[in-house]
Amino acid sequence: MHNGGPHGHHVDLLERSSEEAAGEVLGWTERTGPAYLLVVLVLAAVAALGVVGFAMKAADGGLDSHHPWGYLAAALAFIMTTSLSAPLVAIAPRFGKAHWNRYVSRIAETWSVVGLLSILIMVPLLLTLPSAEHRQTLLMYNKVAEGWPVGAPHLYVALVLVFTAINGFGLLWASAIPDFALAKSRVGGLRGALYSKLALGWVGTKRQWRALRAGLGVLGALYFIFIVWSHTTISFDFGQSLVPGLRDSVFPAWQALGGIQAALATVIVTSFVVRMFGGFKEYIGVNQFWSMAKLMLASSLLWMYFWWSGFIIYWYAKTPQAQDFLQLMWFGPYRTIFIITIICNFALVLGILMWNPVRKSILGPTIVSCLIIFGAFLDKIRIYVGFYSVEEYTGHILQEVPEAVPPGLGDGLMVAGVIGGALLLYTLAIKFVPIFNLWEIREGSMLQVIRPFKRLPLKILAKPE
Amino acid sequence: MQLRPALTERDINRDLLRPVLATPIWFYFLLGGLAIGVCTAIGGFAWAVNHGTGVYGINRPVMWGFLLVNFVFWVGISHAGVMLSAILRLSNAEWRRPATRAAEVLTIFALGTAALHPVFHTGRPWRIYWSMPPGYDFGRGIWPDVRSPFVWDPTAISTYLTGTTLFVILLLIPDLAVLRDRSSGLMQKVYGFLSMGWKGNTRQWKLQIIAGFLLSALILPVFVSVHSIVSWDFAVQIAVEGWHATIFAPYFVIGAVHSGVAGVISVLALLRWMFRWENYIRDDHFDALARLMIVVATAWFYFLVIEFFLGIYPAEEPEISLRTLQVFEWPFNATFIVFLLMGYFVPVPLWLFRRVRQNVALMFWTTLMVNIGMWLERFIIIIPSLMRKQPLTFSWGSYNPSPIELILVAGSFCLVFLGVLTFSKFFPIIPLADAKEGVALETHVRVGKVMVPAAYREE
Repeated sequence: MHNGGPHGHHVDLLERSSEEAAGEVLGWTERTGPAYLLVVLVLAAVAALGVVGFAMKAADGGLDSHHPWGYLAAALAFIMTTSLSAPLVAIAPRFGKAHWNRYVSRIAETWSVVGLLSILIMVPLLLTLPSAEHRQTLLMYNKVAEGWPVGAPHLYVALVLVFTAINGFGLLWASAIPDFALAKSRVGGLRGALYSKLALGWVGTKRQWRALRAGLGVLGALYFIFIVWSHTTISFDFGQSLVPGLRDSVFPAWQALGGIQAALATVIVTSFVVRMFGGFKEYIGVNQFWSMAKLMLASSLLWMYFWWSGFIIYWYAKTPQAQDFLQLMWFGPYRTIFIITIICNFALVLGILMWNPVRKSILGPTIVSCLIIFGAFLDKIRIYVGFYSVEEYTGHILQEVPEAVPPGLGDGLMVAGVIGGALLLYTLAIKFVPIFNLWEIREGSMLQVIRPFKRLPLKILAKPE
Repeated sequence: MQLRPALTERDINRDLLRPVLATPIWFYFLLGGLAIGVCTAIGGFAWAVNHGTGVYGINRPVMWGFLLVNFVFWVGISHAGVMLSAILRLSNAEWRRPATRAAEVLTIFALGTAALHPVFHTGRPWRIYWSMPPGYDFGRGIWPDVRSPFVWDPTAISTYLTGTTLFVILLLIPDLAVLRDRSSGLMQKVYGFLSMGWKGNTRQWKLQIIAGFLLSALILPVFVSVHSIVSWDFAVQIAVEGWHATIFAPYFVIGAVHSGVAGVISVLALLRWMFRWENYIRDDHFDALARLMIVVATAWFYFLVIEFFLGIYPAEEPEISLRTLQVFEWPFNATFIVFLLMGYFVPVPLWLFRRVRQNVALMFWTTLMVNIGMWLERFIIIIPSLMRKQPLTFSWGSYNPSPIELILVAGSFCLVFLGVLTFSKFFPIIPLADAKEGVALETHVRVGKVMVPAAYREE
């Protein structure tokens, strides 16, 4: 990155020709050194431990009841909120014609490979999810029209998650087509053949570019809709529908918003790792961290606002039922976890990121992102473990606030396995799909130039209409 | 690709000060027409004061009628000001420039008009005194209940009104100095006083820019709080079905932004037609605003769906009967369909097409449509819920608006537009300084054979 004019103004343009950048990025993609292999082995071992944990839980409690699986549901929600939401960081700025995202968009989109894992986790969760009979469901099929719609809620949860995963893969593939075409001419063997197949005969004609842009637009918009709907569905079917009487309409929207906040945090941390350990300091600069930090601060403020909007209604109502919900969700057995979540996802974010010099740094947003991811993890535990532990899930009134459920060995292994599995998929993917969106970077270099304004060299951002 | 017209500072002063310095005749006719509408509303209110609130259509159990629907509507419209001005200023969006002041001015008049509605509704304006700090009867130990949303409401609205007014005045200062230098007589003295000795030196500009950013950041929480608090007027009431929903605050805020930005687009289209400002309020500005509208409208629609489904999913009888009334029973069924079509299903698919986004007439009509839809949304939230408020069916009621209420609602529209037009007679409704800065920062970048519009960006 070019970091300077005579007045020290920050202007981030990659000081590389397209050829040099392509050589560097594709070379890195192909290389797999011992350190990389060690990381893969460790992650694979952790993921395998997750399978052991699952087997222990299945052997212990079986798949007859949903109650023992709260930690697995929390792990699913956690990877949905971090990994699977991450592609939003590529999609939204692309719609807004921003330029800063060009260096992190592939880092964000590659997280969509974790969709595969979400489908695997979904299977046992759906098997144990109680039928909608005698309980409230979003589609009320048991109340209004007996037996309709068929398969609710299981079928609909499965459809939403499968479509999200397919859409994510499609988005990653579509955005990588020009890069695959570039890579196929540089790489031989099986890898080259695969790139060639995936490039779909791309030569970069005007028609192909138009189709690519339209496709990215449609896939991006669909992904946005699917991921928001996934958060809504999961928070509903694996969450509040298991607590009788709980009708918290802001809850799904709050979870979706938490997804946007955690997505930014995930991409920031990943960008930091790629920058530090991948040797790409020239590619990912302060501007990327600064831009994402601003959005993360805004989403954290909104996160707190959404929480407050839900809280005040229960607190103000002060009915016995509302007080039970307050206990179950925030001030009862999971109070400590809740307080830590508020500190990590709001108080510290505001306290640290309100300062522009911290926002405009690499370490500041990265530390805050780690806090947010940790807070999001605890939040999912609090919600899903708490909701799964409600014994009587039919009827209209929460009869009793259950005690906190501490994790057993099986739970711990499962959660670690899910996180390890997600990281493993990502680590494998970045050695196949180039970690930087080369065509977007090249386009960015054509649309951003530095020219003097009066006596000051300033960046010019062009926005095609 | 069409290149933007090259405008000099002289052109900008001439074009944007034209309504202030050389007002056309039709302007006075329009002003007169609106003033007649306002006078009629004043007459209607005088009638209500004289005869009592019985002249309104409200009755048990529907004690909140058109006037409070209109109150929520105008508070919603007022959200455009900060949304466009503060958020886009903080995010350095170039396309904000022609829209900011119109949005801020619309905020002031919409909010002022909204604040009149509780006065109309109670029908006893002199009693307002007792609900304000000087009127509290502390001597007898009577204190306002700070836990009541009816105390939060005036506090939030008055803070927002004060903040927005300050915002407008602060950002007007450089333009007032230009007016001072181009007017004579009494007006020169007035502009000279208001411009507070502005000379445009470096220090003044620096202070002005810092103050603008600080006010932008400070006013954002107030902006969110205002409509949240209005929503809590409804949501904290546990006795009314359909209101006690946790999503109400963000749902109201995003709905307010939806209708507010639509209102600003309508006003911008009118300004462009009236003052022939094609070079300032350009097609690409409408395009950008329409893109923003697609996002806002879709977020609003998501909240609407969630609110509705989470309302009916426990399948409790009172809620089901309310939703049945809202969706399936005359006249609310028709209202509901019109609201959905106008609020989302007609305009948003149209905005997906660039040709529509860059067509001023279509943007005007579609945004007008959004506001009709959003007015109906507030109607559907308030009236049917009160009609089904009681658990026993024999206490259910109905509501028909009276002619006085209709006159007051129509008068409120006249009052807001009268305010905006009057403002545009005395002050530039497109900020001169912002327009000049935009022109100074505007440039082009050549990509192949194409010249792409671009802007300098200081970070």
